Amino acid sequence: MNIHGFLKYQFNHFILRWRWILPIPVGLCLGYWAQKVIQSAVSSYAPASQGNALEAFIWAFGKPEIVYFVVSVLWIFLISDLTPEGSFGQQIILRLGSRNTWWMGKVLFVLLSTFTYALVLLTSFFIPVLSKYPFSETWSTASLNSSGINLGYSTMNGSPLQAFWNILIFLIIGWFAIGLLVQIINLIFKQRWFGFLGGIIIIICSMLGTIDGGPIGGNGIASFFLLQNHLEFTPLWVPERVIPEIYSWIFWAVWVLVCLVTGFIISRRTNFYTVKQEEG
Amino acid sequence: MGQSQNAVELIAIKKNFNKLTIFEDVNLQIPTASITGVSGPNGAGKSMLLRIICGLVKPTEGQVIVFGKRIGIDRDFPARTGALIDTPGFLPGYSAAKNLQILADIGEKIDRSRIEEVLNIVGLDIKNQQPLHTYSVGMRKRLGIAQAILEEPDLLLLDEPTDSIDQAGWKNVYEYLIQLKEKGCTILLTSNNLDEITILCDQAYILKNKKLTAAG
Repeated sequence: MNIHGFLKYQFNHFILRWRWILPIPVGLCLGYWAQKVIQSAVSSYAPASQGNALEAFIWAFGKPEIVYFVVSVLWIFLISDLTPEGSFGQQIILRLGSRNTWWMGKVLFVLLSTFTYALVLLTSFFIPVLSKYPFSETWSTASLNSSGINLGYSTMNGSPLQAFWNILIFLIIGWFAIGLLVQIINLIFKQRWFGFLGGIIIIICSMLGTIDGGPIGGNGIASFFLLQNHLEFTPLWVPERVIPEIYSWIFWAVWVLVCLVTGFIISRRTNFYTVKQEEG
Repeated sequence: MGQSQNAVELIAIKKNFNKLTIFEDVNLQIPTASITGVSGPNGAGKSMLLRIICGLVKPTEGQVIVFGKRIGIDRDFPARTGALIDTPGFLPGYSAAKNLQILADIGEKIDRSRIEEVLNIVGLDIKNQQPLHTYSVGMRKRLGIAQAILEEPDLLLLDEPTDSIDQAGWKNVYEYLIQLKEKGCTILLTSNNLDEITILCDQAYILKNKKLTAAG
């Protein structure tokens, strides 16, 4: 059993391919857009002040339309075909010798992919942003005055760096958890595009949930179980958090645990037939 | 469970697929260091039988025992088993040697000389760095055999191994399979080529009408 070799194979086969170029133009476009928004705020509200690159991130990744319809959909597309295994993958499984090891390797690879995705996306995003504005640990005058770029973040969520980490950590955990669910759906239906479809439906439903607006997680016990109250730290238009952070940690921990256990159960029972889809 | 004289034992195996029974009450003993052939019409379930033996597919009923271990209970997959089932799968952007190297990195440590040796056995050249999407069907089949024999397995499952390989290639493969048997390897192959079964096999079976019966 060589989990390291298995991860290396998956990295070469699933990440080093053309579709993983996509986060680069997407990140660059988002970065350029965010930089223009910050530029506009700086010139309109505080001509003399400097903008902050972190505020560009908070604007872009605090915006539900971008989080749900762009970066999360792209993420689901990128990892939607890790399961079920094709013929070459079945040769790998035989050599791994254990269904549990195989599933554990898949889980670790989804985690590795999540970090890789975040790294590629954010690096691309910050290239145009940093060409104009530096990182700063304090809120810019523009952000304190412009509802367009922070909507109260500066007064409610600590420093820009804290807000950056809050948003990023919950996105990474959420992407990892959704990535696992996509694999579970694929394994249940034994079709690679079922997971993609299921993931997209979940994302769209989450987006519909945020259209209602209102403080995040503020509408009764049901709101504790809604994905949109946990994937985004807070959406820009409602920069307050009624559900304490700890419940989001619990929500994702339970989600990941359920996927992990379900994956082990399915992998013990599943039959590995020929997948018609061509390798590569 | 004690060590058995038989490398493989199938006990009352039944397999349903999409509510259809593919085969039932399949019993088979394959002695260690022998070559066994299974023939039968297309769709009889020969490939499915191999998938069940190597643990990729679970039988609806019955038990598979390989080298004394119950597959699915004592082990998920039989140890030291090489398999070529259906159409072999590869990473088409890589060369033949690179494909084998990736598999070698997962399983037992295999050095480059072994990869070269295996490619020679099946008539491929390690110096050929062409990606696999340029390979013909026959060359892919040869590489499929190379995948299966890479780690010098104790049990080798081959699904129509010489199908789409030219006659010159058969000879190499036959000679190597006989050598493997002499070294103690147990081989189960499916084939619709009766000459192949006659030349190679110590025992032969026919899978037909959902039943496995000994060939005359």
